[in-house]
Amino acid sequence: MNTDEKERQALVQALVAELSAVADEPLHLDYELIEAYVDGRCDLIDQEIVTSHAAMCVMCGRELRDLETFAAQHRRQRRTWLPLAVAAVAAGLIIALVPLLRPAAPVVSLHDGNREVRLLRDGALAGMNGLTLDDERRITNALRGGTLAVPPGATQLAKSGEALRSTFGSASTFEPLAPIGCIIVSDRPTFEWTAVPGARYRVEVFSDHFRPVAASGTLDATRWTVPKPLPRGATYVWQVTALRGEGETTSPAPPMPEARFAVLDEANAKSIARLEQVQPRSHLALGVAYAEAGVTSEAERELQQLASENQGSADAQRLLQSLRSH
Amino acid sequence: MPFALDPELEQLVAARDESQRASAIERLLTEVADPVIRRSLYHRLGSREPELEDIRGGVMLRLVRKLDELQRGAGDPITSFADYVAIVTFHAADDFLRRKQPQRALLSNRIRYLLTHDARFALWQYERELVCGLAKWRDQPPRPRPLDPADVEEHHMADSIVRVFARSGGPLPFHAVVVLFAGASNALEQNTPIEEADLRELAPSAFEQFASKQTAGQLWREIEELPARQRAALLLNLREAGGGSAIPLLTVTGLATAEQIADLVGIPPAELASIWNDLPLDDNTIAARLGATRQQVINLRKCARERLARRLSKR
Repeated sequence: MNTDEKERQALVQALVAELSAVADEPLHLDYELIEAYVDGRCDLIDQEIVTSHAAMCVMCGRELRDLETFAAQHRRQRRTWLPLAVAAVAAGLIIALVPLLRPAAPVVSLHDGNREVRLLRDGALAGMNGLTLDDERRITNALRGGTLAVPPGATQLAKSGEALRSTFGSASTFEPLAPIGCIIVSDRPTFEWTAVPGARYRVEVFSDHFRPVAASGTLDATRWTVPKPLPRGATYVWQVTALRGEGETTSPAPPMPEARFAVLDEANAKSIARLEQVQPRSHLALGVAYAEAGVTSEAERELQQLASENQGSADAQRLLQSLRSH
Repeated sequence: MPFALDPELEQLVAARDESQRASAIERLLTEVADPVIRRSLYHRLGSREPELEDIRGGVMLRLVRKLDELQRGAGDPITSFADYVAIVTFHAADDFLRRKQPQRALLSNRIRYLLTHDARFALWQYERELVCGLAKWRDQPPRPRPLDPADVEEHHMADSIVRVFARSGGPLPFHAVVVLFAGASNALEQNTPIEEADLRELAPSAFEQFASKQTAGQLWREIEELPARQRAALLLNLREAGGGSAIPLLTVTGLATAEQIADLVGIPPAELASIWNDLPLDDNTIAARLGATRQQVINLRKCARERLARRLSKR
């Protein structure tokens, strides 16, 4: 056996030994940890531990769900019992005393998909799990400040798109439709344009320095998807040409502004793909991630859904307004 | 501050050959562990549980693995072996009860939640026993009294607890209240134990089979998919058979560069290089890096193992 193979086997052996420890020392959640989770008193690390284990363990998962249900019923019953006057006095006292007595009380609380996400006074984010430290930091900052850091490149790109659209005329004009002035997540964009009766089409995609990177050949449809992925993290320009008889019309063509778009860079694409796996229903997490990667159309969609799930919430509205202000 | 090793374990750590090692382990198990395990199980489960021997056997097996690890210089030192045995036994008994009587475990959790979230009640420790009663009785010793199942209405738990305490007139062992409610609960008639098989999906043999037919590369790719903190807790402590860090093996075998490893464990490359010779890190050091407690690091690593085990066993 050569040295490489020996090392490889030693590594496999170490990893297998590590995994075998699952059976030697199983993790189970004790009551105190389950209660703390249900009451929203867990820090982020314990939240991750509880949700990760509960998803794997039949026994602990069942106990967690049961206590969550029971605790919710208990809270509802208590609310029902309280006479209004007592409730009003208590609420006043709570509002006055919460900052003093409960340092971990939420400062922002939002319905998000099937859960309640809270930013606690001590800066901890409760109600989400599986996030990387970066995801967590982004969401915490967005909730705390009510602002989103959309990259300047995305804003400039959006302005170039607005400039192009402002030149478009009536609905019958031959024009590119999408993608224009945006960063897209897929590295295989689909191009769309308006139809010209009796025409066939050709699409050409250029790098930011006008080097051809893709061309469609002749098409009958008014949409085309690039067959090979475009390199990520780059900006592109595209044109569509309508071929009819012996004539050709290309759009956009000078003096119109260019139809520009960018493909999301590798790091952000990976980060978003991961987030879509671990938090597929979190409009907050996805909205913030899309916004801060510059994918503003997706961010708008997610944050609008967040706002509609939180009617009347100033916090959800502030995030949406912050996105639109860029 | 470094922890002092329990003197009971010195003979094991000093063992120079297999015979000395076996002799030291046998002494620890028969003279120290066995009395603690038997006493703990009797206290927790009584003498009539037919599964007592199985639980005892399971605890012994865990102890043998832990002692073996200790002798190889891996894992954290044990400052009191008897206490360690007591904790392992407590958890084994607790897991056994939760698995065997899942509905009763749910009921116990609900009662406990009410006792700590309704201002009329209180729950406290009295000489290692969990005691409950009205809030004004807090910290008093338990005074077991005959209880009447007629006081319990399954769907009105808080009112039932008020009636139970009114009848007892003083604090009760928490266990006695759970027994009373369990006796009156219809739900317990549908009590279905959680099968061992549900929890044993993660048996070691599954990984050995996996390892025999898969490559280190595939194992590594699964590790890359773990959440950041779980990855760090696992990798920074990962050991090869001799007790040294397994991280250098990743670079030697070409699976990952030092920069990639640094990225995965959330440490700048230069800093990882500076601690390279200190690897594997102990749990206290990892805890300080992650802003976690030592127990959280241990639990994060267990979560990582569970996830990997689940993913690999599904292949």
